Amino acid sequence: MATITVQNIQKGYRNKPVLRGVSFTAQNGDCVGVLGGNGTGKSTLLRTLAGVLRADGGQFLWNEFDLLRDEKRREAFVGYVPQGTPLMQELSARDNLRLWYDGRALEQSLDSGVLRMLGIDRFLKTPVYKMSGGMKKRLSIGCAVAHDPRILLLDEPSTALDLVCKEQILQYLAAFRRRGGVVILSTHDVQEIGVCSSRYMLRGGVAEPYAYDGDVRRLVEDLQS
Amino acid sequence: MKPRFWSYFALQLRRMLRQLPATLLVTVLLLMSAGLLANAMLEKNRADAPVQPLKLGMIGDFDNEYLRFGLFAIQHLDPSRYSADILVFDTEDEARSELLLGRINAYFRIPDTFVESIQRGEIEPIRYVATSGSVSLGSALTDEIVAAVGELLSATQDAVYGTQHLVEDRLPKMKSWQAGDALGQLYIEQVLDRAAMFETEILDAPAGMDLAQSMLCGVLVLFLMLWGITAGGVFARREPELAQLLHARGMGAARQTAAELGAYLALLLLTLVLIAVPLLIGIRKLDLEALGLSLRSAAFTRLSLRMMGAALMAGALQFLLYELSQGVIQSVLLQFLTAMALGYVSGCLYPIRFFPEWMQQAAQWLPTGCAVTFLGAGLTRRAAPAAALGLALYTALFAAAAIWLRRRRLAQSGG
Amino acid sequence: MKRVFIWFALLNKRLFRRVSFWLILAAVPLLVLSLRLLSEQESGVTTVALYAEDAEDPAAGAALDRLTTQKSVMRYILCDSERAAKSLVASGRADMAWVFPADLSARIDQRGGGESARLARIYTCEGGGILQSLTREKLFAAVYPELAYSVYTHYVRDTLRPRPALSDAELEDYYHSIERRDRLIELKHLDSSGGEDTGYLLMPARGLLALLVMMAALASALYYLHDEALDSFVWVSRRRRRLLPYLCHLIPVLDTAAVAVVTLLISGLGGAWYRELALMALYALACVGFAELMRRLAGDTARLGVAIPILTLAMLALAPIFFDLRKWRALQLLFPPFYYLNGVHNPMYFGFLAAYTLAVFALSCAVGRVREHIARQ
Repeated sequence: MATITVQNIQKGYRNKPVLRGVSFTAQNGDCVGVLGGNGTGKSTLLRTLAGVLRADGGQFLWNEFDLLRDEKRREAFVGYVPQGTPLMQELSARDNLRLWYDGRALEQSLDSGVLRMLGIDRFLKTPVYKMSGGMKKRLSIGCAVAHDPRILLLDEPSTALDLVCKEQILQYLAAFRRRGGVVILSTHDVQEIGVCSSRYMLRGGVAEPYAYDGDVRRLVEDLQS
Repeated sequence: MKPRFWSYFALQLRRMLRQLPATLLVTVLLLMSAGLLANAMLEKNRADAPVQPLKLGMIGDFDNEYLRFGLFAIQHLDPSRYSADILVFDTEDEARSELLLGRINAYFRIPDTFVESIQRGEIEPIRYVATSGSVSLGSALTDEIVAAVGELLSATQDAVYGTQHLVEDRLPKMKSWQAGDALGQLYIEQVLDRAAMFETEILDAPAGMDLAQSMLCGVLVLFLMLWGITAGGVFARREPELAQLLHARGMGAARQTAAELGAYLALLLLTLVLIAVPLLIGIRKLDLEALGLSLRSAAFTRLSLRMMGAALMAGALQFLLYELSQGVIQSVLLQFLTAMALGYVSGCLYPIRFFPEWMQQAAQWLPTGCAVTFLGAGLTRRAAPAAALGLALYTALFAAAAIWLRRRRLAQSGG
Repeated sequence: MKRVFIWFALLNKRLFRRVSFWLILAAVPLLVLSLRLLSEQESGVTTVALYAEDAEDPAAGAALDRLTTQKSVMRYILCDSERAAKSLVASGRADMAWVFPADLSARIDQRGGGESARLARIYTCEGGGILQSLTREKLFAAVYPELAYSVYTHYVRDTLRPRPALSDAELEDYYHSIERRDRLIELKHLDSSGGEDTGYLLMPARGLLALLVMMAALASALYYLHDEALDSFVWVSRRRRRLLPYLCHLIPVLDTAAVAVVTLLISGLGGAWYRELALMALYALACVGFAELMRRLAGDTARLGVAIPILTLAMLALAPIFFDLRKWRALQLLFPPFYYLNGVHNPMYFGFLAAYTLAVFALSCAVGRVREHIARQ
């Protein structure tokens, strides 16, 4: 039985449907890659699953709980990293983390937890507006997982990041999966597509299973079609 | 390819024009509010304003000749303007709630021991409550009038009671209150006849704006200054990366700033034109005479054109303030603080003649002071070259300061 | 609760990281203190040039003394000649000139005896207006004591004719038989405090400070919408997100309110510090509620950005900062500054402000629920 079942998600803006019934499943430890060209609804799907947008229809089932309707469980078990930088620009990394972590939990995580794994302990005093894109993305992930979620939604996590930073994030995601977590990410990055255990292509508001064999040219053609 | 100045200007103009509907709405509503504000400020000052009934509450025993004189004096205070309706209340609580509800303008509380105090040879003060709680120039003027009435009452009190004591001592066959009454009547006649005591000569009005014109121009400048808050939504969201990219591609701080400022000023001017033209067409239907102004279409045209000149300065200042402050809250607060501070000392809220003389002179050199003078010259059909020059210089200064700030920011970010 | 304090502290830190915010807060007391210095200088709502043809004349001397020494919102300039006084009016440096004739005392005596006589010449340019009315009453009040005495002496000597006749000294004794007070009519506020000693130039400062606090609240509402669009609060639970805007608005409001209270106290405009603190604290809450209501009604930055300057000008006109527009009382009741400014001297308005605050919070919650419901449909 699937841990997660995304069933018939529908969402539209001003009577213009974007998602017409997106469905897929995933097990513990899976990484689901959501592919698609620009404007196909990848971000909309993730924001809907995260509860930022209200779905027009469908279910997001996790252990028989519909996380679209069960706000409490969704907030407890789902972590979401949006595409932009949802950080307070004027504050340092530590101050941004303090918004989401308890004191002791923060120190433990910096010592030996996820924050150390993401390398955030090395730029704690840097204000966000002085950070590089990679530092901001790692900090965003660190903030998003403060409550130790089981499901992680990431919207194009490696956009504009260097290889080293991408590798750090991928290593973190691998560790997250090893602990039984489920990752759902939207991506254009070949490296990220490669590590996903299942892939779906968003086309016409519907998610179709996509088999990726490493052929980038074919992927590009499929994205353009 | 090096980005061209006019392309970037057109881009910024398109961005600004997206704000045009909202800006037009704000401008119309602001102008209406400003018009109402000006009308309210001038209404009470107009010579042809209707007689305004003052409703005054009275609590306590005022049935003696001395207080009756006082009531008479109040009721006949400038009979050309006010009539006073006296309402008697049993308790101060009743009067207080009527004051709170705005049904009376003020109330007098005559102490219960007022008559006894007279007989003792001293007077207990009468309490006068005129505001529901706030203090403003209006209450200061009220205090002034009350003080004047108090002077009349005090002098009359001395005379009436002095006479009564004299009659009691020296004319025992006569009733002292009758003497007091008769004397009180003489004072009433003096009050009634006071207009005839002074000879008035009207001199030619000095060159320059009268009170109504000056307040109208002040409110219009205030409107221009507050208008800048509207742009907060646009300017506070600027991306610094775009400025860095443009700089890297060869468009320096001066041209960037000129394009952005030019687009902003174009939006301001376009908005004013879109409002002024229909107003000009319908000018005959507007009761501008009610403002105490004889504002014909020619004067309105002159005023509108000059508004555009003042708007250029105001727009440049607002742009500079947005360059100075980063963050939405800081931007809005800085715009507001600057508008209030400059507007206040330039006569946009209080007429400039209310200020010390040196401040009246100095205000003419402030950006808002130049704007008020420049607008006013349109109403009085004068040239005001100094004010025009001042506006031009300030516009250039603010633009230059904005360019300097942008250059500094680009240098700090490594651009 | 601890989390609320942490958020409060960090969001405040975020504001204070910007130098411009420090500068704005620091500028406020400096501006008001400058205004205080300005208000202590010679100024007036009307300027009157004075000249007495014979300064030795007792009545003229007394009138001039009365006018120039009493506390007044009018300004008086003593001139050396009638021409100088007239030229001040002609040049616009004075609104009026009052010239007392050389034989003022004799003329007053004539009036007292029932004859007509002109007591002063008035030169002016403008024909009407409330300030003109006020100045005429001031002129009458300036000469009235001598006139009243003259009427009294004539009445006693010509009508009552006591025998034996009274001497001047005796007449004067009877005239001054009542103990005089400085002010017969005392201006009081509803809380029984006395009239303000504040110059009229400084009077609007409290109202402008109140508006500044309101502006901080409205700006914060704009900032919150801006932050929301950037997903800054995406990790805040839905339940907490209902209260988060209030917390966010409270921060800049409390900062500006604190500066406003300090400014009021150091500039001499404020009363007892605990009363100022209590009233401002309640006002700050009212501003938070009002701003959040506006944010929920507007819904986006464009609409709120449009509304803010209109609200500003409306409050400037309707709040009793410069004058009290009683006939627009219904509109005045919509805005927090009205309650705050009236609450300074009227304890009842403290209660009204509390009720208003509750109402505005309730309304903002209701509007929020309605919007959520509509979004769900």
